[in-house]
Amino acid sequence: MAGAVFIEGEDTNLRTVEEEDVEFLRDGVNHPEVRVHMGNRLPQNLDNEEKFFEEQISDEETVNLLITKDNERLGLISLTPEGHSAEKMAEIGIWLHPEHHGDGYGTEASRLITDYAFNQLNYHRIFARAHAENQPSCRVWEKLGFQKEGEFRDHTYTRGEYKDVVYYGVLEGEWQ
Amino acid sequence: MAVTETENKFMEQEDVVLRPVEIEDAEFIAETVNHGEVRAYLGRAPRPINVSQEEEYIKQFNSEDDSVHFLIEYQGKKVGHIFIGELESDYRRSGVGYFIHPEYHGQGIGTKSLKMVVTYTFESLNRHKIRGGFLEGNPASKRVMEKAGFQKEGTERDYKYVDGEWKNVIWMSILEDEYYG
Repeated sequence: MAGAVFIEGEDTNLRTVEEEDVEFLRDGVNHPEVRVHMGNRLPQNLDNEEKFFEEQISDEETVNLLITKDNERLGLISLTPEGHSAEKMAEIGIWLHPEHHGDGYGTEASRLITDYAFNQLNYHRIFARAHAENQPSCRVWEKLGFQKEGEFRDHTYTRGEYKDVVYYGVLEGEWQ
Repeated sequence: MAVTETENKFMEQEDVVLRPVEIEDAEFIAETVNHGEVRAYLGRAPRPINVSQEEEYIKQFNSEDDSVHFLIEYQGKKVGHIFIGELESDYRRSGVGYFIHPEYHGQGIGTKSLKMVVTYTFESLNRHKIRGGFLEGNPASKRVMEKAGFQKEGTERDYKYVDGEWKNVIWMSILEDEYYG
């Protein structure tokens, strides 16, 4: 059974992540075009992914939602509290299966979760990180009105090179 | 006069049955608490709950003595969840909470369920007081509590953040003397 629809968008729905989604998650995070952009260096088998499901996804504090369209699984989006609760800050993490890149689904899902973060969970600042070379990801945050806050030089290492990492952020007063 | 075939019913009033919550109910409860209209008025922050998490909650509350939970059935269908908590607190004060799937709102199911739980809480558990609350702007929940004999205690300001605004909660209660009248 598919998880309950938690947030409804025009093209995509964000659903609760269920045990039966674990295989899809494993296939996504191992995909060469996904993992290089999220700093995932090690192969994840079904056991690893089940542990991730139990410990991270089913955790009380972190919000994890499956991005779907017409019951098809497209990817995963998360909202993770960062810092002390006094700082009212959370980070968005997102990946889409490469079959669904380039259709604007990432932008819609990110907009839906940012809305939810400000209007229902009362966060003050939402931020996201992207590898500087990952232009499609950078464009998502720019389109949504996140500000480029800084670029950390040689902040990660993938595909034989050091890469810069960009931080994007939006504050509660700036969001729509 | 049994209206439903439910075998493990604990209480019933016409077509509303209260029965123990089983692990298999996790799917229904998860679907209901994730529903936009329901999660907006629950006492906790509206974070997603998956079926695995709900199964853990059910195991947890069924294995402790601080609360008693019932699955609400209406004409044989799962429609909601009601519980009495804080049973181990001092002075025999307890708290009640409930939610009904929005498809079944407006049919008096909440009122019948709450009345049954109030009866059970005073007559079987011998409590002195039952507390409950509803969020400002939820007149349906207010009516349910009033019909079950609850009186207003007071307003707690800025209890929950919904759709970009703080909402107050109105606390209600009923005492054993009022119940036995």
